[in-house]
Amino acid sequence: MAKIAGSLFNLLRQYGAITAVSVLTLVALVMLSQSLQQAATFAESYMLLLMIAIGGLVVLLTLLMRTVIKLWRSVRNHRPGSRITLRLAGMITTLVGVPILIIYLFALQFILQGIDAWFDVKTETALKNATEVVQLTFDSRSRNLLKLAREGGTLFQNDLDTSPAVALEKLRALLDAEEVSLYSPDRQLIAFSSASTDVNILPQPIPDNLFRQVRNGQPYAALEAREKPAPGQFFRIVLPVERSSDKALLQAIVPVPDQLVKPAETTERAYKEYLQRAFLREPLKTALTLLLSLVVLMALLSALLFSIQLVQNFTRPIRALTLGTRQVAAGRLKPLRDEMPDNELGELLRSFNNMVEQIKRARRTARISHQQSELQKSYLQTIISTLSSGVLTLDASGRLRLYNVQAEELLGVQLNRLVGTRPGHRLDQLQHAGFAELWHHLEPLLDKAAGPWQVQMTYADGPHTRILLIHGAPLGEQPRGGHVLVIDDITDLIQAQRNAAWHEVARRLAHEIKNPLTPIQLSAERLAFKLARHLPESERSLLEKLTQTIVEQVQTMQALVDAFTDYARAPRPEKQPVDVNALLDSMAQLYQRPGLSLTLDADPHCNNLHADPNRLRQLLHNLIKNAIEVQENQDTATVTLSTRCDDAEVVISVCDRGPGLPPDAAGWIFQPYATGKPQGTGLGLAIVKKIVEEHNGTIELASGPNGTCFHIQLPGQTHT
Amino acid sequence: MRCCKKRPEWLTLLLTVLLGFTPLPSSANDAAPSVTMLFLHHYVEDETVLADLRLRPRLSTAMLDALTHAIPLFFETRLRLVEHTRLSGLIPLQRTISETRFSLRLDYLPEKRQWRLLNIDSGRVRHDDLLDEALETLGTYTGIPVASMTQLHPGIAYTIEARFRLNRNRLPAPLWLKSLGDRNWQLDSGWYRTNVDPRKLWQR
Repeated sequence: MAKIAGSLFNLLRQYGAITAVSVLTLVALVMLSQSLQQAATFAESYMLLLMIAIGGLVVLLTLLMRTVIKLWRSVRNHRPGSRITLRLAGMITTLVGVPILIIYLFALQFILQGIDAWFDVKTETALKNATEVVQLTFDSRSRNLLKLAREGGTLFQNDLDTSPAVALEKLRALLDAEEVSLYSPDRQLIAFSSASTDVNILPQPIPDNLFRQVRNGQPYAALEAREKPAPGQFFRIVLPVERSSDKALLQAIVPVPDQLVKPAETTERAYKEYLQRAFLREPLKTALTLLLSLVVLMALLSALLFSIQLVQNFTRPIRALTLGTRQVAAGRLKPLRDEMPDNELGELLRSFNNMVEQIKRARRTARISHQQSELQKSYLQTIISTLSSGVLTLDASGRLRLYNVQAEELLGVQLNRLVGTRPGHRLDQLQHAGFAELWHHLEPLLDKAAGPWQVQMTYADGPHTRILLIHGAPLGEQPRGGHVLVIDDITDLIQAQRNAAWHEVARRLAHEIKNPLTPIQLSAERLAFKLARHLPESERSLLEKLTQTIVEQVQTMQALVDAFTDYARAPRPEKQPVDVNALLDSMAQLYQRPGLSLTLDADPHCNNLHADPNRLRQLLHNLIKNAIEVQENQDTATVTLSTRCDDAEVVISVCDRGPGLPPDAAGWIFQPYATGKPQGTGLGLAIVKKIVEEHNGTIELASGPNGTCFHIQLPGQTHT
Repeated sequence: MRCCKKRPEWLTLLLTVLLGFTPLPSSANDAAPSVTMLFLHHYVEDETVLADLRLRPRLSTAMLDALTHAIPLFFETRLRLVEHTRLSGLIPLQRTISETRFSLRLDYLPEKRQWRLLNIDSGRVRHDDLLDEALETLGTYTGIPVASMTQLHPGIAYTIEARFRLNRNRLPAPLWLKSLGDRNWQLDSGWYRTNVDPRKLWQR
């Protein structure tokens, strides 16, 4: 019930105004047509009806203009469904309008020809003649009545003198008159006879001009019309009658016989109407043309308005569907709330709503998956950021996507400048020779590798040289789906391996070489002692020289083995509070000799250092010895010892004024068996570094053409 | 005084625009109708102000043609007494004290070859053989009571005004449409005025 009421309400809302105005206009036009069919109808009602009809048409035209403007704006604003509405409305209008116009033109032609066909000369002549016949009949009748009245006046002349009322009664009977009245020459009513029983009735007065005319002797007999008491015609006979005393005026009002009235009226009416229509022919054509034009205009306007409304109703689901599609395309998944018609379009709307619901569910699922993915990504990023290894990811095009802080620190490059670009294309901007070399090595691997790979490289980051182990693996299953690079700094690991190797070498040297040296030396000395006295002088000196050489070489080897033993030995440092400045001072005192300028620049703020004094002493001994040896070609060797202390650490520096070291010396100078001296073991600085590491410190090399400094940072300064 | 109402060109134009019709033609050779006001007199009789009006209407050929085709024409004659005062001595005010209307119908009876003049209000009919006689009767009004003397106040200006016109609203519908833009159907004298001096009337 509610649905039906709703449908009715919708129908009223959509078509009510158009229907009401159309019906009103149509009614006015029908009444206009009716009024035109009666040519003698007065214009008062015609004018009102015409105004109503024109008003209705103006309203319809306004509605149409409003609708067309709205439709046009909709088309300009690309509102969905507007173009199809316009096109369908145009088609319907054409389909309806063209037949209407054709019918209009034909109907107009027929009407105009039909009006012309009303008139012809024969009809007019016949009507005119018939009217004249009627008139002649009436004239004859009036003349007869006049004659009869005159005769009656003569016949009843005596009675008119003596008893005029009786005479008039006889005359009225003779003439079959309605009334007969007798007037004196001074217009006084003498007597009066009427067929009416109404005693209050008065005779009809004789008009002034007629009275004068008759008094002058000219009788009057004519057919006259009257409006009151009822419209009709009558014969008026007025004539002078002789009386003995004067000349009176006799008036008789004689009704027209019924057998004459109707034919006469019909003939006269027909003739009048013919005359009227003949005169109104052209105005009538104009009026009918106007009426037909108004009807056609009303039909066209109504058809247009109804068709546009119908098309709009028809395209409403399409419009809703287009809007809904746009909403979905814009990401707003809302089902359509429009009324669903009970047809294929309604089915389409329902299917669309189902589709939207499914998309919503899919989107919800995708959002959950995305959230899980984001969680996993965040989890992964956390893991990556906490890794000690550097991690880089590259997309399929080789552009850098992700990196962690460790990678930036390992490579010494601000990787944020490279995100979203191919690092190989930005090398010129980076100005980093080590990174450029690294990337030149990696690019072929990234291009070609289809599976995991790894490469070990020496990476130069300014003065620092690192050994990097780089693992690479393609991302995803598809080829060229990107790469992940994991970079590990294995410098310490390599160093540890080397140290272990050297320890093994040293241990074997000590074990395999040191033991035979003493017997060799003793045997050489015994050989010299036993054989010298049995040889001639010249050969004795040769023997002594040879055995001396053996002994010296054995001693050299002994020293070398001792050094390796020292390096290989790894005693636990026995740490205790050590006065660093005092220790350095004692070392400086120990080396004081001519040709050597050894100075101490001690920081008075230094406190005791928690360290093994013997190992520190060995450290200083190796560095001072080194410093003196590199200046052995100079007249005066200059060595400077200094300390700098703060709350956290002590920095001990040993500097010389030697020729300096090569730029890459920092990479190998602390390696075992690395030496630039012809007679060096290459273990001094390796031992120094080992002692520093035993004390959890670091050593840095600063070398230039004016000398070399070793800066040793040691933690563990105490305040006691 | 000869007077005729101005042709309503705007109405022709409006209809032309609205209905797409060509302008309704008017007979260029046809003489325009007119009304000549011959006199408008007033006098007092039995404490009543009476007026005599005489005018001479001249019908256009189109009107005569219509009459001879049995189409009746309706005329309206109005006589009124108007009081003229000033509000606060500045703003002119007019008030119609009384008005008398005559509705007359003139038609031609082709069967009798007579002109018939009918006073619609009184029902009185007059037949004339000649049109001029009928028109003379149509333009003659004698002893028309305008107002009672008691309605006139010395010191106030009055005018008696008369107007004669063809009532086009009572033309047959098709003819009405034609008459809209046709000056041959515009017959209106406009208001013809004569001053009334109440003091002089009282002195009489």
